Amino acid sequence: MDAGRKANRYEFILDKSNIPIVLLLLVPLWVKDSYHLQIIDIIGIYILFSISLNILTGFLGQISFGHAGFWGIGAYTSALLSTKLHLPFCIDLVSAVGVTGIFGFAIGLPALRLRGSYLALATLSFGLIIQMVLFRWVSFTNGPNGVNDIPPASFWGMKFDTQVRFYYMLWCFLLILHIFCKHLRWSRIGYAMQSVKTDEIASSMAGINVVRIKLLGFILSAMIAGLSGSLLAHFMGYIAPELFSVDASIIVLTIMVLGGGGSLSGPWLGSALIIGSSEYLRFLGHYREIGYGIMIVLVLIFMPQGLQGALSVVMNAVKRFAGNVSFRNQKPV
Amino acid sequence: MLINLLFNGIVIGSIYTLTSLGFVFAYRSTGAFNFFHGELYMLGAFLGFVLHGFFNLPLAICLPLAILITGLSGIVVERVAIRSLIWAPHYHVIIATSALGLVIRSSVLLYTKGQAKLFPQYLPSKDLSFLGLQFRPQKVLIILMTVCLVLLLAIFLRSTRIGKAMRAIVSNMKAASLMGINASWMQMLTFGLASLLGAMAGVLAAPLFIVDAYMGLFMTFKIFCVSVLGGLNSTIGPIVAGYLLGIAENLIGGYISTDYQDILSFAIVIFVLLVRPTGILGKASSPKV
Repeated sequence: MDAGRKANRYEFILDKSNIPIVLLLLVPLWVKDSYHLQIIDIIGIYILFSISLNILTGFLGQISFGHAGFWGIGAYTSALLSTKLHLPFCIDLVSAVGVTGIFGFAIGLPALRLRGSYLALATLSFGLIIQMVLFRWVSFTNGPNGVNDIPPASFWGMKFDTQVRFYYMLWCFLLILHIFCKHLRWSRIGYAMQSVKTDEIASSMAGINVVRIKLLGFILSAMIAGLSGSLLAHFMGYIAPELFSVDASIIVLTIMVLGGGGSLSGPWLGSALIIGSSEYLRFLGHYREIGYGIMIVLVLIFMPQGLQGALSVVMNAVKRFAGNVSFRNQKPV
Repeated sequence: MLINLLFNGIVIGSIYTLTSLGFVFAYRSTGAFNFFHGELYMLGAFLGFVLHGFFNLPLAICLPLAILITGLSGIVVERVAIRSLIWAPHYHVIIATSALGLVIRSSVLLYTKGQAKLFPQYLPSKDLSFLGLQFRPQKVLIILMTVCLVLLLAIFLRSTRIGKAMRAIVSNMKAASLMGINASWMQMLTFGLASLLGAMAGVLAAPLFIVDAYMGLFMTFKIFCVSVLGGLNSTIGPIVAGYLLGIAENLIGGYISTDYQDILSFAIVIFVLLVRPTGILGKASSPKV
């Protein structure tokens, strides 16, 4: 059954799944402590980042082990433009998105003919090379010292320098991206992506231009990652090459897998869980990492659908109970 | 100078070869990318250090024991992380093995608290002299052991029943299973073999370098460089590529600068992936329709 077909295109904007997101507007009313708000803001940035990976790996099935490379490109573009050329936030945000998109295209081209492990290796190398360049090209990127004193984001004179203001700006971006992803997933392009993910050869025989879909996926994913990186730079005020290591790529991949790849709520749930636990359990030191690793393995073995799978089981049970949907018509969240 | 660089390159190449050989063979047997393999290298060295320091056993007992325990942990990882994820998408295995690598690294960090340790030397430290050049005996041992191990491995794979069974699984799993070979058992044994090789590399290399928790991560990167270069589909590939990479790294390090060693490795990887993804000695496989 066609789970996502809507009667008219505006139904994507006024969908039921927007309700939890609108409810999130109320969070700063409860959480006043700036420490907690900061963690929530960081979770938000990671949600954006994992949405970008979700489009590439979840929708399109192209594994990316170096996604932190795109993040770093976006962050550094934004940071360098605003500190060295003193350009306003709007311009460096758009530039970051554009530059990262170009890199997405540049990576997507050779990635067209790589599958599986080879693609994983190629993207891993990409991530490592970006990090190395950020480290060593000292004259351009300031090397290991990173870029300091990045001005906070500002639109038309209003500065988003507190956690609360940044939260609301982030919320706008997240809402727009959520609607965009929903629209993407249930559109012709989205179906084409799912088809390419399942079986590339069959898709090309069905008339899908696999090259175009893959490049589109890479560019889109890179652009959103660039957006996330730019927001990261303006939020933290300081970036360094260590942030964009293989660890970051693995973290966001873990977020995507734990949250549920290819779903809409996956990045949200995954980021909340992983970034939240890594911040709040920091006092455990190395025991935290050990628990983290074991948890990942257990979730991968016993719950491969991720948190989204558990959530959609619950939601479908509720819907069945309410008589809204029969057993066969359940859809993932 | 050149001779020194070449010699060091061969030494390091031997280490790369030992670890990558196991990795590639395990990959061909199970189809799973084991990001944990580098940690096995570290575990071999580290367990040897701990057993010697903690229980004060003589090295002759510690080292084989460390190698055995690491081999067993490789098997455990295979059973737990790789076997259960056989039907999952590719990247689940990579994430799972990375996660287990993180677990081991953090456990070691708990013990070392970030300090690097010096591994006890088990050969006399007097340099050997040959043709007017000085060689550390440890380095000579590494080269000799690697040659022996590779030869033993070749004999094992060609002449023994288990070796032939492993080769059968690697070459065509379905046909081999139909012939009565227990694929699951063979995969486990292959992983055990690969882990033993990795652990031996760790034990051999440890006296040369300091032992710290990040050895494994460093080795994982080198392993994947060597595997891509040599070809994930070939058995001889990792051997050739391991030595090539070791020598190239040392030459670059000696003549240009040590900063560029890592960049060279990754540039090689990118180049190979773009031009010939199956590696220099790999067999190209076309997708079946």
